[in-house]
Amino acid sequence: MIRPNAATPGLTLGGQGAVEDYWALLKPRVMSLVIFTAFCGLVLAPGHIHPWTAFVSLLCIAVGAGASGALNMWYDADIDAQMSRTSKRPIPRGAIEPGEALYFGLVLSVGSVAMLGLAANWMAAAFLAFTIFFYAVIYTAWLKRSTPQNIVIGGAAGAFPPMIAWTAVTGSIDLASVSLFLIIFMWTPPHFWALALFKMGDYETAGVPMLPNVAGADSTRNQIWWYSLAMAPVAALPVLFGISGIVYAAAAAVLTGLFIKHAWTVYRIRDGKLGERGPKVLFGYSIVYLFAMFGATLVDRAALALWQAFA
Amino acid sequence: MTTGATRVQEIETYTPTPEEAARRRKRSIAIAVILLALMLLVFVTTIVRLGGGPAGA
Repeated sequence: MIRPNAATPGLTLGGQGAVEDYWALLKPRVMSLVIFTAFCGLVLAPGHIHPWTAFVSLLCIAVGAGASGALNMWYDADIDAQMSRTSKRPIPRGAIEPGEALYFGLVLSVGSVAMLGLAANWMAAAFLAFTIFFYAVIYTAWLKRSTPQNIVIGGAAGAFPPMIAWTAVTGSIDLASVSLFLIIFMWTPPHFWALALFKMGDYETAGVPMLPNVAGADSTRNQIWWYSLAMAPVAALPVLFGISGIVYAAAAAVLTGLFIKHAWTVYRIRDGKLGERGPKVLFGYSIVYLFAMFGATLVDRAALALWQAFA
Repeated sequence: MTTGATRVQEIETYTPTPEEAARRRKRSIAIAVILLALMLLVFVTTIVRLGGGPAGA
């Protein structure tokens, strides 16, 4: 067995991490959201897909998302080490060599794209490849450290999975699938800025230009409010495009109303204990919101199927 | 100074700690499981694709 030590300088072959460390490189929590939203894209897309192909497509999208996570952790290892939220990740902890994470991410990227192309279609595969590139290069390597608008544009990477799944079914990129993209895309800024408000110190230490550090907490609270308002009409798009019905519409109205209520609290109450609590509540609710919104599209589709079966 | 021969000897005679050995064992099992799953994945996908139609429909 080879391992780096004083007697064998330069031998840093890696490969000594635990299975859990490699799993952590895939950002499993982010992956769960990707799998769920992609599953919704598969269900909502018009047309038929073989259940096995659907399963493989989901797996490939999940592995592709995990691969981008590994590439992100490789590139960001220096700033991850400085932030309390990320300092326990495998590379800053020393459990995995940076080069290992890079090759791990590259191999999974190529593997997931190739498998999606072979199992579903090459349009979906190309879309997955573009998404990995967008997250690893455009967001991680370029936008994240250069502009406070990083997550506004970078959020697109996290919003593509339901569109990729849709493309796996139809073989094309349809306007209706853009409505699913837009829900996640418009949700991302208020979600991350709420987090950034109570993790300002972390981002400051690491030199990441998040909006609160660059424009100030007050400006960030204003932006959260306006983005949340802009998100509201987007929530109605699946109904307008005809991919969801009344059940989704009712759920989306309640869920988005609550989101706006929490955003209003962040906007109005800026000081004291309540002022500190607002962004934390909004951040927690925003995670529930996205799961519930996409969950509502599934419930809506199931309700429609039941209605058609008994009507 | 460490010569090439002694360096190779050091590498070959290194004994992993029990913790390292346990980690290596788990890694080996995980790799075996992943390779088997990959074989199954490609095999079943091929069968489904041979069924014809868009996306194996």
